[in-house]
Amino acid sequence: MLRVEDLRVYYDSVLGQYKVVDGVSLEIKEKEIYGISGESGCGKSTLAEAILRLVKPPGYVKSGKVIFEGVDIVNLKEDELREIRWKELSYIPQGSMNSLNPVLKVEEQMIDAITAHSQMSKIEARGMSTEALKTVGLSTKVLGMYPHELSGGMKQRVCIAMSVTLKPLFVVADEPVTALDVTTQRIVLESIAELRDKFGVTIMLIAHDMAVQAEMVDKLAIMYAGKIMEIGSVHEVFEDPFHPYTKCLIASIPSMEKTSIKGIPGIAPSPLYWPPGCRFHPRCPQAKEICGKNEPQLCEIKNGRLVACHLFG
Amino acid sequence: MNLRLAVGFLLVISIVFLGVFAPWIALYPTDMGLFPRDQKPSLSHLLGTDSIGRDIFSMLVHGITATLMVGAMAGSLSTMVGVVTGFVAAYKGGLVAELLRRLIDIFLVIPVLPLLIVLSGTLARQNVTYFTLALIIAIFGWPGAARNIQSLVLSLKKREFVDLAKLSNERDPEILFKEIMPNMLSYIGATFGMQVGAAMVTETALSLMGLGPSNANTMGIMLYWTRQFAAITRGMWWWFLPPALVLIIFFIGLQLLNMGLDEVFNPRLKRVTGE
Amino acid sequence: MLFLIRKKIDVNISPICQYLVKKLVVFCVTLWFAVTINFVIPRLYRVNPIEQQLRALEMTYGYQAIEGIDIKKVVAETRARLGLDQDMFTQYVSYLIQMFKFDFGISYGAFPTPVVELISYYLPYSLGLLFTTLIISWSLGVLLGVFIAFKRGSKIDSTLTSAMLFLNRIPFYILALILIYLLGYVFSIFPMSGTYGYHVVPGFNLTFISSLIYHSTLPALSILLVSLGGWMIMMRSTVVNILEEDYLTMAKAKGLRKTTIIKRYIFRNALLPQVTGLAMSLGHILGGSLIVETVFAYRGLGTLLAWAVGSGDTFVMQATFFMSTFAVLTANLIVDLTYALIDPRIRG
Repeated sequence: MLRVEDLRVYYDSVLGQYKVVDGVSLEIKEKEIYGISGESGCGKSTLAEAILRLVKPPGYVKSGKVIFEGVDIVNLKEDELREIRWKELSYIPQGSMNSLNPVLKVEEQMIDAITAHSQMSKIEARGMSTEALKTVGLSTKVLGMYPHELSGGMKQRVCIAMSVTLKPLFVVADEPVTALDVTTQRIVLESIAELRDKFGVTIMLIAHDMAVQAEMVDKLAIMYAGKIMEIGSVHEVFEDPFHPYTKCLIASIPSMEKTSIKGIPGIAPSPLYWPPGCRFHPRCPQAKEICGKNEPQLCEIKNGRLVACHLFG
Repeated sequence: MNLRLAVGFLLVISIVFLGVFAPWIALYPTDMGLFPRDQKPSLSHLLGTDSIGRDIFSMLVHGITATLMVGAMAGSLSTMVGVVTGFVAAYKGGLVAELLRRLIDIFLVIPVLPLLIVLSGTLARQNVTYFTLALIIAIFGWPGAARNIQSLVLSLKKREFVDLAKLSNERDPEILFKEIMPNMLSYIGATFGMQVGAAMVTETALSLMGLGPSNANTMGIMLYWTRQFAAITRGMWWWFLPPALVLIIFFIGLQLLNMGLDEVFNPRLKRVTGE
Repeated sequence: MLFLIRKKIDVNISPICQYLVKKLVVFCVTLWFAVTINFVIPRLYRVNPIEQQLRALEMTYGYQAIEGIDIKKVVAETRARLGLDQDMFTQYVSYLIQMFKFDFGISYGAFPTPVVELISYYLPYSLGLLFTTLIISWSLGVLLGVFIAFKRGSKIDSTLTSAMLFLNRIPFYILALILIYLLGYVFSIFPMSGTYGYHVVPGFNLTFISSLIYHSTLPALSILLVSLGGWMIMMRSTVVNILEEDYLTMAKAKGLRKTTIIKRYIFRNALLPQVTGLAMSLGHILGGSLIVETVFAYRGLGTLLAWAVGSGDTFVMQATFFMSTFAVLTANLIVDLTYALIDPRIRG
């Protein structure tokens, strides 16, 4: 369904070049829930933006391809891009506090997306919006309300409903539950899971919360410093993590069994000066001498299991 | 030092220079009827003479002094009052602060210029000195300064370091001086600049209508005389253009200075290419 | 005082009603304040200028009759009306009542014309000039602001923005002088003063209207060119901020057409602070336009005010101030009401 080939997203500034996404390649199959996890600043949100071609200047896509249903999105023309936007390729935003237009009613915002991509009348569009709201557990009353009258969780659910009104093939969900309380998180995550289970939507789920990833996704990619460190099925990654960074991430999840949580020593590097060689080597507990010199490539160890680490060849 | 700051500073300082050293720069005394009237600019009269027989260049230079003086007086007064009232209005609770806020709101809505005209119109002409003029301009000008300071203090108040200071039991005047003031100095300077500029505009407007001090000589009064003698209709550009241009240059210089200082004192992320 | 009234209203009334009532209260209080200043100023002097005028009137005309009007009687009536011989409080109350009825008394400089007559002779032209110019300037500024915001960072942006910034700093009346010289004297395109042609009679006919427009162009330009910059720059920065907003990213992600995004997502949100800015600057622009009117000898309140100052006519001066304030406050109120219509957050 979606294949990313060596995508690079850079920001130029007077201080230098920020290589926020620096050579990411991955492949997402139909009806998969694909998770991308990593610390703040690793570039996962920018990756999502790049896939949707929503990167704001001064950022730009330096090179690479994003092949969606056989079409390279990066080089697509504006009109053609607009065609597939929302109808086939949709988006659940991160900061839903501000993602809704404050001066329009909810129904107006939902309907304008529908009418922009189809010949439906307003009444039909309204019907579809009501349906979509039902799937996330919101009543029709919400349609006539303004965003400032809704709670954070409701706003997020409205965004989810909006993104599926046209029954897209692929949805990119960028940190959909990060800003929500635990109970609302539950409801929202269930809605997202239903998208795949009931409607067969392929989902790319971006979240730094490993616990969320563990619950939701089929396949998981770990991102660090603009590159992918490890890819595998969620069971494999959690039960038998290969990359030292993955191990650290999992070790830092609080749980009932653990008596202590280990943080990862050091601070995340800046996209201006990625460390030479393996980007994680300054903080890696298992770093070898070669790690500071050669950058490990992402190679397939077993079927569908990829790691970028010198410990694995 | 960036370009804006440099150019702005240059413009402002050259005019101030002319004003301060006027008695030495002005070539002739400015009494009436000393010279042949309506002379175009020449070697002996750099800007010609006006319809009352005065050398315009000398008039201009002295006018700069006078206008700057009124502006500086009014500006300082209104800034001082504005800083105090703005701080009280933003920081304190209680009836007095509330009334002050309402007062500032009211003054910012009412058209102040007609009020000033009424006020100075009812004053007998002989009673108006430079200082009186500056005083009444300041009386109606301080709410502008107060509003600036008020919004600044409000935004500073919300920032964490003030809460920290309160937690560590600093008293209000201490908080004012140690925490808030240092951040405010550049803004107070900018407000002062704006107030001086606004005062000069107001003074010129009043003088233009004939409400200035009667035997004084500001640039506004020069313009008043140009109107009395229909200088524009008679095409005497050398009489009315110089004061007008000097004022424009000064205001633009002030603006550039403000912008330049803003860029220097308020470090923001460096400009990224492509904006 | 004000907040006490507000507290009482807070109970069980819809937010939009609360908003409107609050704005009405502000209107009344501000107007009252202006009227009070009007009352206080002449009475601050050792000899009330009004009293001085009345005495001067008596002296000048006291022993004659003008058109059958008994001067002494009129002066006595005016004295009584103003209660100049009564205590302050009674004076104040009767003064307030008179202002409420728009009863400004008799003009001293144009005796015996009632002040109201003078005001109604001059007021329409002031309002016409001011509000036409304001609407054009504001609308143009808003449109230009959006346009330039999309071109931000380009050469057009920096040149236009700088030009507007500098223009904005020039006082209205200085630009007026320059325009009169350039376009009136040097190039003789526009008349250098006056409201309409010398022999033209006011009325709803084409000659008058075209003459009026012809004479109003320079005054309007003086105000327009200066204030345009302010609106444009404000709109530009508002739009630039909106372009960073999350709901703009959403709009793009939704694949909406560019015109739709500009209309419903950018414009409607950007207008809100623009409307507020308009309300806040009304007082300043009105003041400036009065001076411009005197420069052009334009038949407006400015000229009336200048004449009143020249002839020491306190009643006319006060009435002009009152009417200007009243106009500004009413316009502010209308703008506030409009704001309530376009911002759903006010409605609660």
